[in-house]
Amino acid sequence: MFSQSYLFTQEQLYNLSFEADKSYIIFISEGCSFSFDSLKQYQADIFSIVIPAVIFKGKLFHEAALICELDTVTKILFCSYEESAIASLITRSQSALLFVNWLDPNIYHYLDNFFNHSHEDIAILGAGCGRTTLDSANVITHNGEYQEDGFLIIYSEHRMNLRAYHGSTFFDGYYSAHTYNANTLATINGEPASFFYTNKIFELFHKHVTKDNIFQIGIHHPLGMGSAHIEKPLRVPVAIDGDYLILSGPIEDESILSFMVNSDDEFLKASQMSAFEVSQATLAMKEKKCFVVECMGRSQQLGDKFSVELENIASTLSSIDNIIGILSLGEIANSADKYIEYFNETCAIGVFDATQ
Amino acid sequence: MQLNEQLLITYECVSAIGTSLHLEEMITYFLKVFSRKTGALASIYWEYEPDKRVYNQTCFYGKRSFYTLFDAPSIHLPHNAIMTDSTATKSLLHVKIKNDWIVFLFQHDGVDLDLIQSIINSFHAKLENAILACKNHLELLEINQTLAKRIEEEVAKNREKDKHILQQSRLAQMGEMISMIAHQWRQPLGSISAVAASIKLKTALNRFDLNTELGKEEQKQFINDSMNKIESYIQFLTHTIDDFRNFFKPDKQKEAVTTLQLVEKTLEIIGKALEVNGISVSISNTATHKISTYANEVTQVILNIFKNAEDAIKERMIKNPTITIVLSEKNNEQIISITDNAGGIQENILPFIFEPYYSTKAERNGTGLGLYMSKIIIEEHCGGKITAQNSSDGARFVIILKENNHDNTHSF
Repeated sequence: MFSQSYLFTQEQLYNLSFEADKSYIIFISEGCSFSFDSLKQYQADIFSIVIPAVIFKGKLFHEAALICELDTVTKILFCSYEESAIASLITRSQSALLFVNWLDPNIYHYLDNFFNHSHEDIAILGAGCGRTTLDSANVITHNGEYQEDGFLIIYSEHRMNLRAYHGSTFFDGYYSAHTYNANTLATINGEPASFFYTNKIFELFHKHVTKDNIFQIGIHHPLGMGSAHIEKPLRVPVAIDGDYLILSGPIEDESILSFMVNSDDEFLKASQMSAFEVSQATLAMKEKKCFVVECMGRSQQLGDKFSVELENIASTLSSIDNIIGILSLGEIANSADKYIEYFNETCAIGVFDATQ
Repeated sequence: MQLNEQLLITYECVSAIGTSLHLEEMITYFLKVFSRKTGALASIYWEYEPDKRVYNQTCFYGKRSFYTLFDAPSIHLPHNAIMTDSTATKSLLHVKIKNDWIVFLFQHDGVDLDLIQSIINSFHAKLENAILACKNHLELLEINQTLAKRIEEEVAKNREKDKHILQQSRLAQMGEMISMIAHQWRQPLGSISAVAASIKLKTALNRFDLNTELGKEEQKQFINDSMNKIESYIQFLTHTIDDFRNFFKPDKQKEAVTTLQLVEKTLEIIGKALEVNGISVSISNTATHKISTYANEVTQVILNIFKNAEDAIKERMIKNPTITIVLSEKNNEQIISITDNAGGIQENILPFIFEPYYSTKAERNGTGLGLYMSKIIIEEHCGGKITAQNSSDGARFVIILKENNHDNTHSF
């Protein structure tokens, strides 16, 4: 997938260099001050995405960029909303990294499109990218040009094994939700969605929800959706818009929601389970590389303990030298064994077989 | 999976059923939600076509690379609603919906298929009904489309028929016109003939002494007078032809006229014929306002009523035949009432006299189109109203025309 990966601090970002005729992906943490226009001067094919933070050598960096050089069997492409010819491009691919703007209401459309047209055994790891400030400027760029209404796909002939768990548990339910659009709830149980969530959080947890703290409270008390997956896919309420409640991902109309609760222990167990299962599944791989997609909500929930989570992952996957990854605002983890879903608050770990 | 979770998935799948009356759209949305909730990798809907005894794929949802794993169901498949087939890595879950099938593909060890079966069982009837509703809806749409096509065909036929009727009506009018011209010309032609005979006679009898200057002068004067008379009669004949030609020329524009002018114009055409048949015409006029209308067309209607009265009078050999015309106005309406004393119209046929091809006259006389065309002219072209009723000793036709009728009317 990636032949090289480097960490650049804020200061180092002013001295970037890229080899012509090579492809790069830059994961830029939202804390970085970066001129996307500067990417226009290079001959290389450079994509960039903004995420809350980057992970390099198993550690978290909020003001740095992770620059990855794509190897020869890996390609990168931005697919627009209408794109459906992607199937012809990825017939030989075994794995893919897929990135979407976390506030894009068409996320399900992109996932359906890619999943339905892709190779039958392709493993897909991905993330919702963007800023926690909800600012969508330059979230995805190509050679310094903003890309919107689509998704970024990195596809490779390397096999990948992946796992994703969150650890959030059911607390209260069940409530019928109607949507305004894919990531905006209009009503819950017939009441305006924002009022219902606010009142219910006060009733259940005695916390006052305001426009300013909705995201923080939402991270600790996400909404769970019904699914045959082992864990319920979650959605974090991120903003209030009048009666509407804006979520961290798409949701089908008339979904049944439940209030979930997070605990540090369960979160740590979940990440350990992700790491353990993926390590067991990749024992036979000779040369392994790891990409971690950790939900930003996990770092908020765990606080100082988040470094413990990263250490646990690193120790479980000790055979891998450099664990890289990102802090995300949504996760995708599909091993082609179930229909594709978009997750929140998960620890998604992908291990590539770099020997092929 | 806990019972709660099972119920949630069931509820959300049930909510996805029947969201559209378009079969493909409804099924696709259902398969999408079902796939997301249960993890089905792909699914297909086979619709049975009874006429050909084959299954057609109505929609496919999910990973296209799995498409080849779906074989068309055999019509010999057992009628139990749900069955499973298993391959090495994937499981196919067959669900029979009436004569159709939905087949879902799962990862073999990815899900609890028994549980998925029980979820499907719980909404099987609703899905069946929703599919039936879509099919019924489609059938109704098809019927409606056929109906619309049939109506269109009938309307086209009627238009053709109307054109035919109009053509027939014009031919009939031409016949009537020739008859009326004959009436108008009879007297002047007779006069010309008389003048010619007089010249011939006087010449044969040598009434003029051409040996004297006086005789020569008298003959010259006589021939001159005779020629003037003939010229005058010829002018009358020419004038009559012009009158008829203008009369039957379709109006392109409305003109402001009084109802008296319309009646008088009509009498210029038919008056001589009525006079020859001894029919007296009386006019009582209290109307003063003008109306804006297609004058020639209205006069054709009045002419038709006069002709009908004349025919009835002649046929029934009525003594002291009269046609009474009353012109009045009321509430911005001009009313023309024409009553004859020919005995009236039989009550049982009165409701049908304005229908096409309905005639009470002997076949040689009536086309059955006159009153039909009169009604079309007055009501559709001039925006008025024409009615018929019986008075004490004859038929009465009443034409009502609006004084300010500038819109929604059109000429032929």
